[in-house]
This record gives sequence, structure tokens and C-alpha cells, in this order.
Amino acid sequence: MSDNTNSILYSELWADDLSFVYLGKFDNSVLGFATEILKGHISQTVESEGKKNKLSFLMIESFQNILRYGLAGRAAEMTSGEVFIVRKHKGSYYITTGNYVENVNIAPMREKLERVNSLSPEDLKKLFMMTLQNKKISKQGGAGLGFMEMVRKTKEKLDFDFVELDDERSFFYFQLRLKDNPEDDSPALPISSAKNIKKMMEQNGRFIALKGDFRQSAINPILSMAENNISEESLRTQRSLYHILVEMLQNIARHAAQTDDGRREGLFSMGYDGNAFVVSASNGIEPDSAQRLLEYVGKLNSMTREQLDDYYKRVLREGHDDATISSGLGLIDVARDSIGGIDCAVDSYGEVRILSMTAKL
Amino acid sequence: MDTLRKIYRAKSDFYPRMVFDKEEGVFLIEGRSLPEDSEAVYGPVLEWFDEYSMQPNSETKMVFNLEYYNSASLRKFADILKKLKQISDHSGTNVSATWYYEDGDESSLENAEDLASSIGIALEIKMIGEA
Repeated sequence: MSDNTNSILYSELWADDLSFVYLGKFDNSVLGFATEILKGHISQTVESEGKKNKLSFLMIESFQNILRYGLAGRAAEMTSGEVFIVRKHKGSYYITTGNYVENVNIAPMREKLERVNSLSPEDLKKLFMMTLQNKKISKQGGAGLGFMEMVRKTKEKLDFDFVELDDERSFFYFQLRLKDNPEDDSPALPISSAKNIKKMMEQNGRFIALKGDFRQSAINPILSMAENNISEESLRTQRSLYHILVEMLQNIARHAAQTDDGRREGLFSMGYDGNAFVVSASNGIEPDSAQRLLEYVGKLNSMTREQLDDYYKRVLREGHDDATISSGLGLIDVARDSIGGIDCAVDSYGEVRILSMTAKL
Repeated sequence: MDTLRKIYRAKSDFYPRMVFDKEEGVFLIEGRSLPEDSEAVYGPVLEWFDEYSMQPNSETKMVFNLEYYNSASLRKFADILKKLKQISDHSGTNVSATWYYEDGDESSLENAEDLASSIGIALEIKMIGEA
């Protein structure tokens, strides 16, 4: 039952300080959660207020672009697989969206994008002012004001790509870059990276992935977002899943090797693989602890349900026989609920060990 | 003429707090303005100004105090300022507007300057906390 989604995702997101990926249906509630999750993470960094505001603006505009330029009607089956990604990678923030568009709309969109990209800052400002004065509003309600503001705020050209799917539809990728240092002339992350991430998430049925700092304050908005995604399940499933989520997320916070600046870095992903809900959590870990946890999870996996229940009660009563595994109740709980036990693996990246655990419900 | 109705709207995650009250002389938009459909939010305000402009107060002081806003909202702010300019040009009453921005929020400052020069209205731009 090996599930290596997180290992694959880690290899793509390895150099990121922060990654947030959402794949699925888009509405304003998702934007609300996404902003909260990112705020939790960004507030722990040293970004200035002005930069945080800029980031919020860019996220909101990109997100609303999906709603604005996406397919009319936006039936659920037409919008699954749309993607929203925010990453902090080597000194730049990247905001990437991917959504379906009708082929008939591509030419006018391309024209707007290329026009905005081709203008000098002075001409862009002139066009911006003219658009503010102009009473006429384009059919989509934006008339490119959003695109203009994106260029003015990032001082970068807009990166985009259309991938044709059939006679009627294409998939539109759109990417913004906001540099920490305007002098930074390193090449931008290519859109192909977003395509890879989308593919990995889709193939493994994941709808949320988050890499970053998992101290408690950052966990709560993730739980709200997950709750929203499972709200149509039975109450029993919701409760169990929520429980597993809390334990897995806190497990990252507990076991993650602390970085020099106090971060507890990890990667979390969640989804539905066609049969079961799947939750994976990964974190950097000391080699010794990794070995101990592997053995411990192996021990839990070999136990029957009755044995796990007894063991749970004993740990509750007497505490853990191995103090290095903290209270240990969390993992026993996850093992009790997870179909086929907990999938546990360790990957090596040079000196660094990444421990990944996956539970299914 | 009937008394002009008042607009009071509480703030939420996506919508600003709004007060348009002729009797009290309060004209205010504050908080976050991130509506996907900006016409639904600001259409009624623009209509309100059409009525207000028939018989404006001797003094109209509009306040924008926004934390975040999207580009669709920015366009509506431009439309509101245009209405204010019309009132000022046609009625000869005192019309002014103030735009507050947070220290360090250059984008907001820049937007305010662009609004002022493109609409041709005297927009007082103030940093929050500044006297």
C-alpha cells in the first residue's frame, strides 16, 4: 500500500520556504481559507506590511481571474483540476493559477496580456489612468485593470501559457513573480514546475498540499479548509478524518527538526484516492529519531485492533515506555483509524532525512 | 423631497464597512473590499450619490480607509470620486475626499495619487496615525 505522493512532491518543492497548492473547485470561500493559511505562514517571516499587502492583492487578483475568465456556468465537473499555487522560492514569491478557458476567448486574452507586457512603465501608467477615467466596462468587468496592476506591483512581465485540450477548451496557466530584491536577475521558476505539481496532485488524488512552518498557529486555518472539503461526508467520517488531520499536523510540529530560525518545517497533503481519504505528513528529522519512529510505526502496524486498543489504554494510564516519542497517543490513534495501518517511509536528501507518514480513512 | 435613505453596511471578510448618511454627514468606506462582483456592492452607492447630488449638503467629506481592495473595487472608487467631482462642479458646495493608507503601503499611496490626477479631484492623502 505504499504511497509516495509526499516524496514526489518534496522533490519538486524541496527548495521552497513556503508552498501552498490547491487543486479543485474554486469559490470565494477557498480564497478566504487560502489567505488565512498563507497569512499564518507569512506572518512568521519578516516581510514588511507593504509587501504583505502586495502579496494579498496579487493573490486575490489571480484568484478572481480564475472566476472571471473561467468557463461560463462553471459546473463542478468542468472545474475540477483547476489549480492555485503560492510559493516562496529562492528569494521570490510565485503565484500561479491554472484554469479552463474556452478557446474562443484565448485570442482576446492573449492580446490583453501581450499588450500589458509590451508597454513601458510610463505607457502602462498612462493606460492605467485612462482606464480609470473610462466609463465603459468590458464584458468580463476587468478591462485589463487587474493585469495592469499586477505588472505595476510586481514590476515583472506576466508569464502565461495556454494548453489546448480539445476543440472547445484549453487550460490557461498564469504566473506572477514578486522578488524580494528588485536587482535579483536569476531566472524565474518555469511554468512547467506548476504543471508538474498539478500532475502529481492529480495522479495521487490530492487537493491540498502545504509546505512550510507547522507551528500550532499555522495549523488552524488548514483544518478549516479541510473541513470545508469534507463537509459532504457523513458526520462520523468527518470526525475521524478531522481527528487524523489534527494528529498528523501536530505530529509534524512535534517531530520536525527545528531549523536555525526556529521553524518546524514540514509538508502536508490531503486528498481522496478514489476509495479513501488520504492524509500525508512529512518532516525533516534526525537520523536516529527517524529510525526509532520507523520501528515504532512498524510495531503499531503489526498490532491487531484489540491490541492497539489495549496499548492505547496502557499508554494513557502509564505514559509511554519510550519518552522520546512524546505522549505517543496520537500515532496509536491514527493507526487505529487508518485502513491498513500507517504508511511510513524515510527519504534522504544529502544529510537531511525526510520522514513521510500516510494514513487512509 | 423625501429624506434620502441611509446606507449602512457592516464589514466582513470580503466587504468593507460603508456608511452613507446625509443627515449625519458621514460618507465612509473602510476595511477590506474584495468583491468578485463589484457592481453589486458599489452600484447602490453610485445610485445613492445620483440622488444625493440633487440636493447635497453644504459640505461633503468622503473618507476612504481601506486595508485591502481588488482592482474591480479601485475602478468603483474612481467612479465615486467622479460623482463627487460632478457634485462639486455643479452645485458649488464644499466637496472633499480623504484617502488613508498604512505606513509602508506604497501601492495604496500610488493608487491614491493616480486616482487624484486621473479624476482631477483634490484628494487629501494621509498616512494612518499622521496628524
